[in-house]
Amino acid sequence: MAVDNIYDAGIAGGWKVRDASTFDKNITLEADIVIVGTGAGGGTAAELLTQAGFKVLMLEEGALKTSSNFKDMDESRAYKELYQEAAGRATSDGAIAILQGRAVGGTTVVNWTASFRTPDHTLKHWADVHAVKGHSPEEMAPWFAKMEQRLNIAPWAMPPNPNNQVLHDACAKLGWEWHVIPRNVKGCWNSGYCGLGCPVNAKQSMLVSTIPSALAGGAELVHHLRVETLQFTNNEITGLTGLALDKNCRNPTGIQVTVKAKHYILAGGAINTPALLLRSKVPDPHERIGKRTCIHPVVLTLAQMPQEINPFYGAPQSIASDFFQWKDGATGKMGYKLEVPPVFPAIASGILGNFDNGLRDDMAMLPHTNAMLALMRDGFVEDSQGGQVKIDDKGMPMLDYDISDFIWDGAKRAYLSMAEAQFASGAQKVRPAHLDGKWTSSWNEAKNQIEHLKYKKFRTALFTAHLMGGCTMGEDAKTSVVNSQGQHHQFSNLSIFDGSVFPTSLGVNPQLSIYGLVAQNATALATKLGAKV
Amino acid sequence: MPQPHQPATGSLAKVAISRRTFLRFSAIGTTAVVSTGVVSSLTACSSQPNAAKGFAFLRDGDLKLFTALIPVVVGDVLQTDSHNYQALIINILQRVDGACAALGNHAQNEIHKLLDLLDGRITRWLTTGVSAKWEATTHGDVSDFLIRWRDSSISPFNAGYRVLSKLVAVSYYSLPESQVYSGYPGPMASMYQLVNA
Repeated sequence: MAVDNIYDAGIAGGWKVRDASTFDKNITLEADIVIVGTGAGGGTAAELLTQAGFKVLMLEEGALKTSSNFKDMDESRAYKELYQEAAGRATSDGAIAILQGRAVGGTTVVNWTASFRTPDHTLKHWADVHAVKGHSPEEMAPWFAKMEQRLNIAPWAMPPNPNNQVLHDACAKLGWEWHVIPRNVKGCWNSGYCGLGCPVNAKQSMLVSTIPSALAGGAELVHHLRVETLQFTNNEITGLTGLALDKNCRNPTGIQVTVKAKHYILAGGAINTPALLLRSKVPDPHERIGKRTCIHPVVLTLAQMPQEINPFYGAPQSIASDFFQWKDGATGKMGYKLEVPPVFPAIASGILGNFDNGLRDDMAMLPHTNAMLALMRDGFVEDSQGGQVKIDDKGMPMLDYDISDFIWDGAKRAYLSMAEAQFASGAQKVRPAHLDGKWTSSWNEAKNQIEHLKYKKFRTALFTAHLMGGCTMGEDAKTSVVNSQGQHHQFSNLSIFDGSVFPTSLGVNPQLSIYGLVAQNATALATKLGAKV
Repeated sequence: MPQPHQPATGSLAKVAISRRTFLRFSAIGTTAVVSTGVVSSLTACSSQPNAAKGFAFLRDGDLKLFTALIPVVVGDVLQTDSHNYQALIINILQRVDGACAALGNHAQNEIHKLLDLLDGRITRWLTTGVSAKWEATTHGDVSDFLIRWRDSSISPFNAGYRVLSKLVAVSYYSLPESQVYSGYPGPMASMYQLVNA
C-alpha cells in the first residue's frame, strides 16, 4: 500500500519548497513575514498567517523528510535524520540527555503525540508571578479548542498498550489519579513508531498538517538553512542571514541566503531561539536571553513484568498520572507527572547503564520490560529557576543546567512513586535508572535502596524531551524577553512564537501549549499587521 | 602509520596537580545516549584531519580503544570467534563514529579530550589503571577499568563511563543483528509489510 507522502504531489503541483543544500550562489529572498523554524510554533504560525493573506517564508535548518523516508521504521535512521545532533544532544556538562527534533515539522515529527492543554495552575502562576496577561485559562480555552480540532486531538480511544497498562493498573490499585492521554492522530495504526517518524501520516504533526496547508496557500519553505544572525537598527530587525547546509545538514556549504521581511518570527525552540539572539548580539539590557530554560528533568525506573508487554509496540503514551503533580500547589515540593516511554532496543541499551553480561541479561528481558518516567515540573520556585542557554566560541548553543537539592528531592520521591507503582502492577523486579540501581524484588527492598542512593549527576540517569523558556514572556521588560503576545521588548517587528516564551515549565508535554499560545498570538499579530481575521 | 596523538605536556602537568582539574571532559556524559548516527557522514567531515581512514571522527588510536571496549560492553552475545566478528566490529565502530560526528562542537571537543586521555600511556595508566596498549588488553583489564570509572566518586569518571558504554551499547543494539538478543521482533510486521508493499 503506497502511502501518499503529501509532498511529492504538492511540489509537483507548484508548492514552493527549496533545498538550500543545492543552492550554488548567494541569494536574497523577500517576504511579508519570515518564520525561523517549522516545529509546533513555526508550523502553527505559518498556516494562520498564510490564511490571513500574508506572503510567508518558512526557514528550517533540518531536512524535509516525509513518510516515504519513515518506511524502514528504524531507530538508527530516525535518530540520525530527525533529531538534534543525531539524538546525542545533551546539556553542556553531558549529564542530561536532550531529545529534540530537527526536521521540517521540528519535534512534532518525532514526539509521542501526547497533547495536553496548559494546566490552569500553570497559567495562573504565570499571571501571578511572571506578569503574563491575556493567557488565563478562560482566555486560552478557545485557542486550545481550535488547535484540538485542527489536529484531531482527542483522548486515545483504544485500550492502552501493555506498557501503559502497567501505569493504569498501578494507579487503579493504589487509588492514584490517572487519565487517558489526548493524542493528535487521525487513522492511527496503534503501531508505536511515533518517535521514528510516522510511516502512515496518522500523527498530525506540522509536517502533514499546517505546513502543507501553508504551502498550498502560497507560502514558501526553504530547508537545509541555518539562520546565523539577525541584523537590526535601534528598534527594528532589518534582515537575517542564513547559511545553507550540506545534504547531511551538518556543515555550511558556504552559500548565504539573506532574507528581508516586514516581520520576523523566531520559532526555533527553547535552545536554538535564544542562541540565535545571542549570536546576533541583539540588545539585552537586563540579560534575560537564555535564562530560565526549563526542561522537565526526567528520571526513570525499570521493571521486569511476568508477562510479555513488548514496550516498543502500540501507541507510546496513552495513560498518565497527575497524582503527585499539584499535591502541594504550584509552588510546593517538586511536582511530577508520571508517564511511560516507548522502549526500543537502542534507546533501552543506553538507559540501562550497565555493561557486559549485566547488559546482556537486561536486554534479553526487553519484551518484559516496563519503563516508567517522571516529568519534574521545574521553574516554579526560587530553588528551581531552570538552566541557561549560552553559545560557544563558534556560536553554537549550549545549555547549562544545574540540579538543585529541590530537584533531587523530587527525583528521589519520583523514584519511590514509580517503584511502588511498578510493584503494585505486578512487577517481578524493579530498579532505578541509576548507576547504583540494583534489581529489587519487593517494594520494601526498592524503597530502602532508593532512600540510600547517591543523588548526583551521571550516577542518576537524567533526560529531557521538553525544552521551555529562555526567551520568556511577560509585561515587565526587566524580567522577560518578549511581551505576552510574543513581541520582542526592543524590536517592534520581531516576535517569538515557540516554547522558549514559557516563563516556567508546564507540567505537561508541551506541544498543545505551544499550538494554543501561538495560534492566539499569531492571530493577534495578523490583526496588528492589518489583516482582517 | 600515523603516530598516536599525545596529550600536551601542559595537560600532563595538570594531572600532577589535580586530576579533577584535568578531567574536564564531563560534557560527554550522556551525549551519546541514543546516538547511532551513521555512515553517510563518513566523508563529510573535514574538521577532524586526523580521523582514521574511512572514519569522520575517530582516530586510529580511538578505534583501538573501542575495539577493546566493544566485546566487554556488549558481553558474550558477541561471538569473538565467529567468522563475521570483524565485520560486526567495523559496523559498530562506524556507528560510534557517526554518533560522535553528529555532535555539536563543544561535545566533540570534550570527547576528544577523553579519548586523548585514554590514548596517552601515562594518563591512561593514571586514570584507568591500564598500562597496556588497548590492543593488548584482556577482557578483565577493560572490565576493571569500566568498573573503576563507574563506581568512582569523581563525577568526570562516571561521565566517561556513561559515554563510552553508551556509545558502544547503543551502536550495537541499533543493529538488526542484535535483535535476536533483545527479543525485539523488528518493525511491527503487519504495518511494515503494508507500507513497503
